[in-house]
Amino acid sequence: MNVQISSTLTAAEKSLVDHFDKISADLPGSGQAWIDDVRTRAIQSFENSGLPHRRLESWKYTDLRGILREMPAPAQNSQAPVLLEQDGVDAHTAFSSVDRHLGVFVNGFYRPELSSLEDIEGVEIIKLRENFDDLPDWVQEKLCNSKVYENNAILALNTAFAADGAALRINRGSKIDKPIHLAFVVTGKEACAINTRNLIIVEEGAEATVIETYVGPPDVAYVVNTALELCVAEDAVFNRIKVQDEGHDAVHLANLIVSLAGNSKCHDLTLSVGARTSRNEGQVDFTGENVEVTISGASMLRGKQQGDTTLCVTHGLPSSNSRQEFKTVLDDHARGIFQGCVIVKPDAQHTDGRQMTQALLLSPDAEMDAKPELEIYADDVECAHGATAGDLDEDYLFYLRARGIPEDQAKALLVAAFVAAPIEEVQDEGIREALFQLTNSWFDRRNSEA
Amino acid sequence: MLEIKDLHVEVEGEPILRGINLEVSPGEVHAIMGPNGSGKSTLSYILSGKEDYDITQGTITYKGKDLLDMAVDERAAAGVFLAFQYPIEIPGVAAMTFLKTALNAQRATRGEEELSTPDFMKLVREKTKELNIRQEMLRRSINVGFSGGEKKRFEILQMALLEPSLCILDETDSGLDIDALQIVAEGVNRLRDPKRSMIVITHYQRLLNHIIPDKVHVLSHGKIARSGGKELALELEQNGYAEYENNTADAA
Repeated sequence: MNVQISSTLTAAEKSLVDHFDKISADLPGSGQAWIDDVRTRAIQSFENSGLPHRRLESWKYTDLRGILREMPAPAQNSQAPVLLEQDGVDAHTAFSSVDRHLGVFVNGFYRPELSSLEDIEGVEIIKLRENFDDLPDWVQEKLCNSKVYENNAILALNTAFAADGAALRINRGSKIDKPIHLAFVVTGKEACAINTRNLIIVEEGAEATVIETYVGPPDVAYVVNTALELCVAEDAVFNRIKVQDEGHDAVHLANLIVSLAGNSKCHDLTLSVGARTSRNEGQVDFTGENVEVTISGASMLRGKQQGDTTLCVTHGLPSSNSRQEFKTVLDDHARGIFQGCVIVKPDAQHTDGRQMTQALLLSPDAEMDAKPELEIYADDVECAHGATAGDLDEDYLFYLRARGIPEDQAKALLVAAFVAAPIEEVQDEGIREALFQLTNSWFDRRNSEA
Repeated sequence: MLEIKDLHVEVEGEPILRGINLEVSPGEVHAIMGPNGSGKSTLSYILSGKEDYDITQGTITYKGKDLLDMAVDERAAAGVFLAFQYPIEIPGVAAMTFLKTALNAQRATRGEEELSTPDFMKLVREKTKELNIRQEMLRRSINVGFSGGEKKRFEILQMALLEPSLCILDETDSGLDIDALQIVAEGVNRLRDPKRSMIVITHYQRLLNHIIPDKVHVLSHGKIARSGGKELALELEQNGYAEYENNTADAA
C-alpha cells in the first residue's frame, strides 16, 4: 500500500518529503520528543494527501498540484546584508513612515539587528528559532495542536517545516502604544521555500494592532508558506493588516486560524498585489457571544497573476456579527478567486453575517470566480451576501475626463477608488495612508512594469 | 470663440440634431431653450466630447481649432467646461483630491507648473466661501451624500476653479429651490468676463431672470427654430413651446 501511495506523488511532492528527511534533524528544537513527533505526524499527513488539487472542492480554482511542478529546497539562515527599503513603492517601504515596532524576518529567519522588538510594554515576544529548546507552555500547546492541519495540507507542511516565526502574547488589559510590524523579506537569486509560523494571543481586555508585510525579488520562483494562529480573549480588540507584495514569480500560501472569545472585536484586512499565485485561507471560530469580526481585503492583480481568497466563518454561538468584504481588481490575464463561507449553527441565533465580494475587470481576458456559500441552520438570524463583477463605469470616466484629467490618470483614480472602502475602515491613519500609497500607485506601477 | 456649422448628430441611426448653426463670440451669454427631447442635452454632450454619438455632418470650431478632433480631456484643458444636469456620484474619489488632480492636470496639459498645496487650499477656501460650500463637503467622495443644491454648487465651484473660456450649463436650475438658484446664479455671474462665453441650456425662463443672456435660441426637433434677444425668453414663458412642437410635427 505504501508503495502505491508514494508512487502517486508528483515530483514536487516527492521532493518535499525528501527535503524533510534531509533537514528535519537540523530544524530548531529537533531532538525534543514533542516537536519531533509534531513534525513527523505533520509530514505523514502531507504524504497521505499530497498537494491540494482541483478535484478538491475548496481548491477547484487553484490547482496547486498543477501549479507547483517543482519545489525549491528550504531556505538557509544566511546573515547576508539586506537592503530593506526600495526606490519604488513596495509594502515594506510604504510602512517605513509609520511609527511602529519592527520585527524583520529575512528568508524566514528573524534578524535582530534589523529589528526593534525588544521591551515593548505589555507584550511578550518569543522568537521561535532562538527559543525552540525552551518554549513556554502557551506556545508549545498551540504548536502541538494537530487539529488545525487536519484536512489542510499547506498547514501540515508549514507545521513540518517551520523553522522560525514570532509568538506574541499581549498581556491582559494592555493597550499597545504602536503597531507591531512583522516584515517578511525574501532576498537572493536562488529559489527557496520559506516556512514561517506565527502565533498571537490577545489576552482579556487587551488591544493591539499587528502589520504583516511580505516582499521579495521579482524574478525568483520562491515559495512562501506562512501561518498565523490568532486567539483573541474576552473584551479584547485586535486589528491586523497584511500586505502581500511578493515578487511576481513567487507562490504565496497563507493560513489564518482565528478564535474569538465573547465581546471581542477583530478587524482583519489583507491587501494582495504580489505573487504569481497566492492563496489566503482563513478560518474563524467563536468561543463566546457578542463578537464583532470583519475579515476584509483588496486584491490588485495583473499579468498572469492568480489570487485566491478562501474563508470560512463559523458561527457556533449566538449574537455575533461577522462581515466579509472583498474587492478585486483584475487586469490582463489575471484571475481572482473568492470562496467565502458562512456557517450558522443551530445554536447561533441572532447572528448577523454579511458577505460582499466585488470585482473590477479591466481586461476582457481577466477572470473572476466568486463562490459565496451560506449554510444557515438557525432561524432567527440576519445573513446577506452579494457578488458583483464589472468593468470601469464609462460615466465616471467621462466625468473625470470632462474636467481635464487624462484617461490613464482618471482610470488610476477610479481603480484606487474601487478598493478604497475596506481600507477606509482601518483606524490607524498612518497605516491607512501607507495602504493608499500602495493602491494609488498600483495603476502606474502597472504601466512601468508592463 | 465657438462656431457650429450644420451639425447633424445621430444616436443608433436616430437623428437627434438636424443641422445646428450657432456662433458664440467672446464674452457672450447664449441661452438655448426648447421643449424636452429637442436635443439640448445632446448638444452639450457633443461639445464636451462624450462618445456614443455619431456626428454625420457639420463642423465645430473652437478658438480656431477643430473641436471634434480633440479628446474629452483635451477639450477641458483647452477651456471647455460642461456643468452637468445630473452630476454623477463617484464613491471613493474624494472631492478635494479630484479638484486638485483636475486643476493640476489641466495646468500640465497647458505646460504650466503644478499649483502647490498651500496655494491650492487658499484658492479653494476663497471659492467655497463665495459659493457657500462647507469645506467638510469636499472631504467626502464626489457628490456622494450631497443634496441636489450641493451637487449644482459643486459644479459651479469646479467651474470657478478651472476658469474655463467656454462654460456650458446644462439645466443648472433643475432641482434647485429659490435660494440655491440665487447662489448658483451669483456664482455664474461672478464668472462673466469679456473673454469668457457661456451657453445656458434651460427648459424654463426663471434662470434667465438671474443670468441675463445676450441671445436666446429655441431648439426644436434638432434645429434652431428661432433666435432673438432676451425678450424671446419672456415670450416663451407666456406662450409655452406648443408652437414649436406643432410646427415641427407638421413638417415631419
